[in-house]
Amino acid sequence: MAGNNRVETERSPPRVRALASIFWQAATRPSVPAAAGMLLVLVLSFVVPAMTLSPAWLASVPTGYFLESEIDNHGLITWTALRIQQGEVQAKTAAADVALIGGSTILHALPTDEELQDLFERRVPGAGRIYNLCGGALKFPDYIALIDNLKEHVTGAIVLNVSMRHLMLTADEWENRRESPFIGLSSDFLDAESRRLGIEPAARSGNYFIDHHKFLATRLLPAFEHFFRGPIEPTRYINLGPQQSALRLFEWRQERFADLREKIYVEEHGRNLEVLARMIATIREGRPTQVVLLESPLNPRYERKLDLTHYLETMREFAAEHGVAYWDLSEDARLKPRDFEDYGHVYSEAARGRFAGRLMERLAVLLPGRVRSP
Amino acid sequence: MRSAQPQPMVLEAVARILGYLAQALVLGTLLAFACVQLFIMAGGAKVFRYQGF
Repeated sequence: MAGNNRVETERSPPRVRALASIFWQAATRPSVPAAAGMLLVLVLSFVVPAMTLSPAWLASVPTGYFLESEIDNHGLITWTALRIQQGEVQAKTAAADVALIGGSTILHALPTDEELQDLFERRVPGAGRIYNLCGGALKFPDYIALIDNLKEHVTGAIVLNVSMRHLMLTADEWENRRESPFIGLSSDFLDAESRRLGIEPAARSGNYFIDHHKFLATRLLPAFEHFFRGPIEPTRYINLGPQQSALRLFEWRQERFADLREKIYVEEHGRNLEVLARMIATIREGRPTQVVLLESPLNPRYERKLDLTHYLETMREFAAEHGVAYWDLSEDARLKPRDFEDYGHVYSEAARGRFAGRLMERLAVLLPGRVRSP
Repeated sequence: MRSAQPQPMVLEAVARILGYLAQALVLGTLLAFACVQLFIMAGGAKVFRYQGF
């Protein structure tokens, strides 16, 4: 037996080498079985995500895995909305939740999500959760997708950021959003609004991966890295500060905006106000929720140079007609030109605190309950 | 004793299949990555990179 064992041991290395050689040849040389396997893996790479990436599963995964980068606000907004919709964020009993939906000017005017939540709980009685769903260049189509998915889940108030720019949304911009969606949420309301504009909405299959492949494509490749290195911590905004380039951009935007106002605002604001009215009606179809229109902060220097009288008057009349609050906090928050890095983006931490403070004061009055002293 | 051990032909077949699988997995995954990357580069999917304002 001992002799036999020695013979086997002496034979093993050449045997292993022979097997390794066969393995290596099969792994490195083109062959029909390997090609068929490669095609199978390729197909499975798309079939498996299509079968597993459901809203419920995505909502259960920590948000930081499926972000394109730290500054991917649109990804963060989508995953937060899915978490709310799927009940992953547990609502507090009898507490009022608030969803802030808006563009970058509101994002810049508010402190971090943790500070905002802390402020909300300290200043608003019966405060539940406050969701900051603000991101760069978010427009009415994105608002609609969020409203349609959250109207049944937000108990206190839905705050919609409005500005003159929002009323200047054109059909072309709407169509661009269909081609390059910012928010990965399906919405019948959005599809209906697209049809009103004569734009055929994107086809819906009911499968999240297929319906939102454009939104997911840019976030799936980074997800592989994040699964190995852990979820990334999102950063809500980049503070540029009042740089010279920002000031030049300020002047450029000012001129461009003045030009656009004449051409587009006059033509588009009526239709966009109708869209806004339907958004308010849709929110009211959901849980009993207050609706607030929150005006974007505006650099006073900019305000002096442009005549916004018609816009502001129109918004006040619109809010009164539809029975919703319309809050313009720039003056109350004592925002000065030095607080801004351009026409409407706040960069000063102190100014953010003042703006958020005024917002909480208004929410405390709006939401049921007694106003708690700060 | 001898019948319990894998036959040499079987071991060779297993090694060959594992080689095919390794090639299929590596190339199939790379091809899937390339397809997604090409889709993004061709403008099929865009991400709005927020640069501060």
